[in-house]
Amino acid sequence: MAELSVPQVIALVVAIAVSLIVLSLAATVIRAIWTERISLTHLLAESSSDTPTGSSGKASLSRFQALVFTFVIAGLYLVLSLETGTLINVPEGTLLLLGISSGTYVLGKAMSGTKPSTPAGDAATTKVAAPEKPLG
Amino acid sequence: MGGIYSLLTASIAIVVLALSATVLIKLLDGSILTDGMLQTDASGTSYDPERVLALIGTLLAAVYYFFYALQKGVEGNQMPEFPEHLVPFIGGTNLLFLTGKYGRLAGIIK
Repeated sequence: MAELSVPQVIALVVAIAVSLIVLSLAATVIRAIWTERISLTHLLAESSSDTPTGSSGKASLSRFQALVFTFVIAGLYLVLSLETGTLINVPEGTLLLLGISSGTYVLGKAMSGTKPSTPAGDAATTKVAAPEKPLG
Repeated sequence: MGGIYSLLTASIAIVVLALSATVLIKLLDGSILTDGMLQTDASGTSYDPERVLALIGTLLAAVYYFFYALQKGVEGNQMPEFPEHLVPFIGGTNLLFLTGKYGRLAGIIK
């Protein structure tokens, strides 16, 4: 086994440290997800300013599509990088796919944001009638 | 240097796999809300056909590209290009989805 030079040893130590930090952060986040400290309930939900949680309670197909493509491309990137032993490039066509998915999400969100407000949305500005005072 | 790349890539691979598994399990056990994904109006009783088409198209394209890329492998130090014939397919299903959504929100499509 060839001896490593000092810079190579330092590089290896730094790489191990960075790997441990990344793994620790990931483990913290995943543990928080499993213990419900980070809730994924509304991960796919459309956002809404009308509710306290900021979520409309309705899942968004655009978000689901973006999630699927992100995981597929990330998974492929990692599998192929591990296969070749080096970090590979992402081609423009694949970036275009992510762009189409993101563009659909933005346009869909813009459409949802421009729909006419319902009469229920004006309820917050309606004065509540004072209770009637009992006679006598 | 190859060893360092492998170490870092393997670490990130573990992170991505763990996060993917977490999200997948949460999706399958119902923890992640998926109600109303196939409807513009969640109070409706029927599914919107353009949304069903977009969902099927998304899943088909994702699975096809995944196995296509694995089979083809790395070309010139980069991932295989997304198949050209799938770009209009994905673009078309998304355009149909947006058109349907706009039509239903504007009251053009009931």
